[in-house]
Amino acid sequence: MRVKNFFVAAICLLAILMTGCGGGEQSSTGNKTIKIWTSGEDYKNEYYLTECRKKFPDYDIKLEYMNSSTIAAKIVEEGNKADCDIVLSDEYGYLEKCGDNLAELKDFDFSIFLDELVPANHKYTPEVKNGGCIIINREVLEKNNLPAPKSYQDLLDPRYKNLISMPNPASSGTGYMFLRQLTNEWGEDAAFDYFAKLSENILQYTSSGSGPVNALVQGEVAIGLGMTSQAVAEINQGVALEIVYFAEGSPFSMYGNAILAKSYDRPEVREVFNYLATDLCKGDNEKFFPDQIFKDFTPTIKNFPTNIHYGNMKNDTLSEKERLLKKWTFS
Amino acid sequence: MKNFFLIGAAIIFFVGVFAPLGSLFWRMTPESFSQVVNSPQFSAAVWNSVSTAFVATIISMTLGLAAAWSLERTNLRGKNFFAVIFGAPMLIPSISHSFGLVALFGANGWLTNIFRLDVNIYGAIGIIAGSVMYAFPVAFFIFLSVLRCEDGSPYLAAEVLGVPKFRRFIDLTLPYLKRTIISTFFAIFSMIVTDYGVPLMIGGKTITLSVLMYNKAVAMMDYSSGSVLGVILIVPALIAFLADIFNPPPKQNDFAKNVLLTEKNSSRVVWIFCVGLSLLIVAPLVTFCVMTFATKYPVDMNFTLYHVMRTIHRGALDNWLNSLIIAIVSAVVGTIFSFVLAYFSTRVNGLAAKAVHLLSILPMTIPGIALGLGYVIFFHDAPIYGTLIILAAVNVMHFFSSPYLMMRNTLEKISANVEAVGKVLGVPRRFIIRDVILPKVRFTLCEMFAYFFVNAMMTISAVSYLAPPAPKPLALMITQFEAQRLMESAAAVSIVILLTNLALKIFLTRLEKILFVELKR
Amino acid sequence: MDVQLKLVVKKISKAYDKNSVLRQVSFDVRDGEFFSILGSSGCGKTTLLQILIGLLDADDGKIFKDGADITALEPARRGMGIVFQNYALFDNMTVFRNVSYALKFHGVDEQSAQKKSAQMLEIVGLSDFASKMPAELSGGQQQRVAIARALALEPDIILFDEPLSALDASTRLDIRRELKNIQRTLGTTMIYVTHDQEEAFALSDRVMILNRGVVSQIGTPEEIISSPANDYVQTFVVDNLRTKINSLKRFTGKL
Repeated sequence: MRVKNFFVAAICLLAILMTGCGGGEQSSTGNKTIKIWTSGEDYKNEYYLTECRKKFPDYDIKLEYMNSSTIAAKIVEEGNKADCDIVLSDEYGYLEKCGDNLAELKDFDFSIFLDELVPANHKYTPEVKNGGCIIINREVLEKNNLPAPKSYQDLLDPRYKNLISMPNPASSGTGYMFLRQLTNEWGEDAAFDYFAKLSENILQYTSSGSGPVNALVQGEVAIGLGMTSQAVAEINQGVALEIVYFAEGSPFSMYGNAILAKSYDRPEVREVFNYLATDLCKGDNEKFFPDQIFKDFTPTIKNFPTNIHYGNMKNDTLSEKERLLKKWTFS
Repeated sequence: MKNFFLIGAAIIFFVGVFAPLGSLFWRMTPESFSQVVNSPQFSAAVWNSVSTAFVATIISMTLGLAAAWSLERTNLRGKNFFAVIFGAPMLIPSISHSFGLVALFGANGWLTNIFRLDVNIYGAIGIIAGSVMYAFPVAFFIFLSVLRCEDGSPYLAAEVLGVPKFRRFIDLTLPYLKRTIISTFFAIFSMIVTDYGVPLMIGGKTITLSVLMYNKAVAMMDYSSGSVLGVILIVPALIAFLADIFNPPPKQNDFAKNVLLTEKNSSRVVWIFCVGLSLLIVAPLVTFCVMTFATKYPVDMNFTLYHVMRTIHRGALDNWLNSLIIAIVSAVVGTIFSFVLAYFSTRVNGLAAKAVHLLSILPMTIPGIALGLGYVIFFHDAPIYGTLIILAAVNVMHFFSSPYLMMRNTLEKISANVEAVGKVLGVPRRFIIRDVILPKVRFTLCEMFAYFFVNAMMTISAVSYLAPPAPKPLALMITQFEAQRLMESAAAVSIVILLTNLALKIFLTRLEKILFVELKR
Repeated sequence: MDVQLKLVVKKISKAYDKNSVLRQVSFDVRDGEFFSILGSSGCGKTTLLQILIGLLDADDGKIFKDGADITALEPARRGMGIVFQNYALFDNMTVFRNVSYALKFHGVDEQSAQKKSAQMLEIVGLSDFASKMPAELSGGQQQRVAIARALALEPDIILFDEPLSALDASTRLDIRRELKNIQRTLGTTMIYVTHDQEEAFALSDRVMILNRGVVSQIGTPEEIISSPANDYVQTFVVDNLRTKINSLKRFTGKL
């Protein structure tokens, strides 16, 4: 008898679970589910998701984080089967790569953006300018009795061994922009020679651009090659990090938002996208990435460095990127 | 009937294993092969993989044997407690173990801070330590069950002859374990070599073959290079498989045990060893809890639900439900399927049964990260692609062999004449199965169910290619958190997986107790 | 054809791969007879038994029961029962259910099944053990359950596959006595496979000696001892028995 009760209980539990999921399935087939893929940082995703759900309480909005390269690769590989409607915050180069699968945003008013940032094919909208910097955790430096580095050459000092974190250029746009910039500044051979030496001091290449700052916050490393905006966000939360720039200036890359061609006909997708790409994007600029994107909007953020000297980012094309990454063998 | 079975099984294995595997080979081109093999990372990765896996295998086997011996051959107190603790690492994903190590021994880990250690856990040391953490329980349970079945009479004789205890271990126990040691070595080695969770998180710049494959195939979707690496990673498992075929471990036969081993050593060292090992195992788990609920570990230790809420906000609840469905479906389907095939291969004579047996143990040779890639390539245009079904399917095939062997082992102990009696008495076979066989194998069924469930809950190998687009299982969130180095969320998810698996284990233990009462009645 | 013949076996042959196990084995069993098949291990006696009951198909040859060809009949429709050396009890069922279990598959209603099972347990002397589990019984008791289970369907032939080999000497004697009793009271024909010469000769009306798949001799114990058909029968049966008796001779008079 007891066995029977036990099984009845188990089957009931199973049934509840199944109906629970069945309900979930229904809402996703009910066409009101909107799936967003993003390579944005965690704090930023949090903001977008919360605001979106607030604005569209009837829609089931799902946000999935992936590396910037994985998003493009998945969209190209899966084509119309990609489980994604909107790409939020991916690098321009990767958006170009999957351009065939993206919709031309015919109804979108691109004139609100600074003209030089708008892509010719109108397949994605400018979102943020992501700048890179060197971030240090002075506590960890002091624990190891080390001075703060003043130049890229300083970072090669063996005393910094295993105290530096950097994103993997092959998977992270942030990682790549450092490689791109130093290649432009010093020439390809000198740059690769430098990274070969720097590799000796790197503790770990992170897959994501936000990895180094998180490692700095946790005190796992003393120096990180990371994202200015993320470092500022942590500083504003009270974490003792410092931002430094070397003579070469800040590398940067542009990020944008897009709709997949297969989802363009769904009005609710366009509705959410328009909200993301304008209002929320401004909020994003106001909170995390203050570099100007909109013609009529000039945000400022507390503790964000001013008068940043942006470095030389020419040749930031997909083909150049693929060529350089073939030579990248350190991670 | 026999042929119907054979054909059915063959079709399932063809679609579920051979075709995906074939597409892996098919995707591999001579150019991609030479490109992968000649790349500068490759030879380093081979060396890193082989050397770390070798050392980790030796260490985890030594620890496993020592722990099993402590529980089986001494009068240690609290054996059940230790057995539970030693098994706990099996309930969380491999990648969680490396998170745990970073929390303990990282530059800012609490052991590092307390003892002012000057260690760099990233790299080969971290890979070895993390691999030992999750391979140790496997070795422990294998040795435990084999030691449990050893015949005690030689020990009695040795004792009477005055052979010292240490010599008894060297001259009796080790030779008895020889075959087990060899096959366990290969099994654990291939398990470690094909795992990418540990080296991805804690490998630092030490790139292994599995991480190389993960980076190429999962992160960058370079399937042709991935295929090459996948095929290469099959090699160690294939060696393990052949080693097992040509050197089968001794058949464990409960009935053969005629003299109970009464050798009971007592020693402080054993106690200290077990307690120390338990602390090492429990420490990361406790740290996970602390990390989950501390405001900013290890700086600000005030209690907060912030990280839990954020983890839920990132979709942990949905993914947990996904995992639960996948785990239950794979466990139900997998248990039924492996029971049917085990029944067929043991209780039916002839070539068909042998063929089914061979088919059933073959999935053992295919590492999850290779099988998953094969699934992506082969099932890409199938209707089940992008659904929970394909995740459950890949789990059933991937984890099939062990539960199958468990059931086979149990069925072999039931007299073949039971069916003959049924035939003579005019009882149809299905009734004999229902009324005689199933009641006798119910504990094994529970074990198989647990095996499928726990593994489906914690696997990050094959499923990493399939989700998304398929709904994401909870464990895969950890790899995402690894990329962003979000330790708190990774810790929270690991705890949830551990608790879910623990709950299932407790549920099954209760069920088994009730079944046992029922049997007595 | 002699009406008294219960079972007629004609030229049964069986080979596994290319190894011939049974070669043209022919014999017949009379109604109500206790018939033993005696041979050393590997002589093919178990294979022969499985062919008789229908668990195995012969390559060649025919089996007739009561004059009807049953060679291709399913085991359950041959009206035979079987008792194995390892009992093969349903050990998750009580003793009573072991005996009654199969009856419902033959259209016996619940009440008659109860009655029948109780009666069978009575015959083998296990009435007091009806509600026990097999694991709680001794080996001899378990084998009695197996016999009761076989008897419940009222077969007119019961086959025994070395049923006593796993039991101790005194239990063996007890069960031997009971088997003879059952044979006499129920009139069931019994075909008894064994490697034990003494057992075969003590129990049987007639014995068939099988050597490497070939019938060496069929006859009453007296016939075989007085005129062994060949060297094999002489050494395997007659000499062996003589040795046993001689070894016990020094006790004669002392008992």
